[in-house]
Amino acid sequence: MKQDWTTMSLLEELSCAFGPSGCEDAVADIIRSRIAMYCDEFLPDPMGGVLARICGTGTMEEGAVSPRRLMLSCHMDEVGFMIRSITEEGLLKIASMCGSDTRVLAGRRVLVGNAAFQVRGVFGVKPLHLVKSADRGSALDIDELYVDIGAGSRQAAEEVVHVGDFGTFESDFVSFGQESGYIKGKALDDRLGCAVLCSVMRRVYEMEKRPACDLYFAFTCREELGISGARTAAYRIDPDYAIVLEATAAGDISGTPEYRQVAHLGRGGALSLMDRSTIYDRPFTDWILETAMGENIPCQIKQYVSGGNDAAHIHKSRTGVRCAAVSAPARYIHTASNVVAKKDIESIEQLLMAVINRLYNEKK
Amino acid sequence: MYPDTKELVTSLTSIMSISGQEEQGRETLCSILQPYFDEYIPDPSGTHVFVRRCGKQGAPKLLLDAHFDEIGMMVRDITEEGFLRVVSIGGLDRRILPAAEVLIYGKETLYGVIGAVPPHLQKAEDYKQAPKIEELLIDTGYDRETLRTLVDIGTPVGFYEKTASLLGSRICGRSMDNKACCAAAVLGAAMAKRENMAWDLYVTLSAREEAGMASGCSAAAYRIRPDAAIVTDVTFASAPGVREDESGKMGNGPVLSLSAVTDRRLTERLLQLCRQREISCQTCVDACDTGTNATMLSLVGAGIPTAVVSVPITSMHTYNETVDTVDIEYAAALFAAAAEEEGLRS
Repeated sequence: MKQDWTTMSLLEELSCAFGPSGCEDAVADIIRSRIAMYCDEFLPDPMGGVLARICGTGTMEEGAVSPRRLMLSCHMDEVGFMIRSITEEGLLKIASMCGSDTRVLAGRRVLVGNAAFQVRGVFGVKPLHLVKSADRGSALDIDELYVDIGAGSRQAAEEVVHVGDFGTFESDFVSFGQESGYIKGKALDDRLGCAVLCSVMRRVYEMEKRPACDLYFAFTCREELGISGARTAAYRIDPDYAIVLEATAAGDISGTPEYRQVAHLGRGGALSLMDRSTIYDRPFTDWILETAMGENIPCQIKQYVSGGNDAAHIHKSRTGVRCAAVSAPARYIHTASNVVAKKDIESIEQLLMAVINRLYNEKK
Repeated sequence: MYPDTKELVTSLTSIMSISGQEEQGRETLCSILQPYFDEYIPDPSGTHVFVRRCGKQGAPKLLLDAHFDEIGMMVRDITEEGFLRVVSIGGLDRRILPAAEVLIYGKETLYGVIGAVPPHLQKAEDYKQAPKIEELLIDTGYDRETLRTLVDIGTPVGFYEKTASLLGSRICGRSMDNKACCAAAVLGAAMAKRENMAWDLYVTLSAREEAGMASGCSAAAYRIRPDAAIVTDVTFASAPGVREDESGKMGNGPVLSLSAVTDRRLTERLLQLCRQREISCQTCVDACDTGTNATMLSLVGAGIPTAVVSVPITSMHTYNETVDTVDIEYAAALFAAAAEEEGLRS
């Protein structure tokens, strides 16, 4: 029986799920339950990732060129923090795992706990009225920040949370903007990739024919820390080709000079040629671009050398893997308010389907 | 019949009342408060006046003032790319604005996100600076042309966060400053037993406090001419970076202000009432200024003896101000006791 989720409803469920780096189990459970009936087997992953396989036919038409194993990869984790200590007053001091900009924490609502249980808290802020006027323009330092869960004492706090517990933003999933064409949520980087890959799996599994090659779907851990679960996933899968699905900081807002913009919302997935950790396989990337153009699927080239993703580890796995990356342009990543265009999510899903369809009978 | 404290706060915070816009929520406000009052008097200043009468001829008037307005922003421009630029209304804390979520009260209520500069365009030293209000961009997901049909220059913009629960009796969200105290005033009026009441109780949910003018409160007071007044507003709760002797402890009851500008006799009577009725309370020294409507209010007409009773909150002027509903209930109990106390000023 077909499950009744859509890419968008699954994305909402995944966006709201609790999954800071190192604590991805809740997200993994959702994904496993949604795709179990759409894959031939799960591969074990001691790192906590979800690795699934759809078997190919293994038979190719004469002269056909196809990968042996194509890995499609996305990451399940989101930026977050860890509880470092609990004060006498029951406030939580934290170690950030949020990247470099801690300005997006002050005042925010968060969830703290573990994969099974979380409580709400707030990043408290010393009132502006009591801050010297010279300091009112200074961002709050991570050491000044604390999370208030309303405990009132250390003892009351320790009944519900512990040192070493995880935390991340609490943020509604909101449809907004022109024709409700945009969504805002936390962790769209990269739950968006997760939702799209789940959908692609279902579509591939329900098709009448199978691609010649094996398809591996990897939902990885700890990408945001740079200590990638994709490294070990790629080792196990041993692909010859890989496509990484990501979200990339778009920078298409007023006041940003054109030469510093990365990608534009609404113009489709952004294909990377190079970022700070990978030079992508050009023939493979060109082939994907050509596929998009052939099918009139919106697609763009990422125009700024910035960031990095799981490809950093995948392309160096074993004897090397030909890698491409498709990213959804996203505004305000690594905050509680990631913004992406719904159109781009559709375009990326379409593009992946077109790529997989071309694998059946590609000749060179 | 009392309202539930958290429900009352939640419904009051859901009414947009950015300074200058206090009258917009009149219908909703009146429908929520109607069961607890005898009369509603609209005031040209934007202040909402609710009266609960004691039923005795020639009874003195007690004014209980809680400012109803909240901090926010106002649209000043729409950029070529369709982002909004804003000015602040009241003391907006720019340290908490990157990626904050807002509602834009245009022809329709639109959702928006305050933009943050992407990391690849930032230098290490940028991370130490909070953006200036004039640099902020609000992302609405609309193009300029469509946006211009929905949003005029001058449109109010407020925070998005609704009221939510923390552990125990604590709640967080936007505009606890000062809806927590509005709730305390309403709850106090509802709790006062009419047969025991010695005063006609005038609750003013006043306009334009955050804009620094106290104009809504003093105009309404001039019309009412009360015999005594209590101002209820939020104060700082003890928290990291906040001195203990300039704050109140959350959960320990309302904070009574000891100040040169408030009426000491009235304040002493209120403290005495707390002791008599076993209402938890605390005091705090605000020597020259209480930072509330009290100063202006005490100068209205020929002068009004005024006391200040505050509810402690943390993270003031953020979108997650945090309050303990127990403190709201203690404050309400004190207001009810005051309305029943004939000798409040003797």
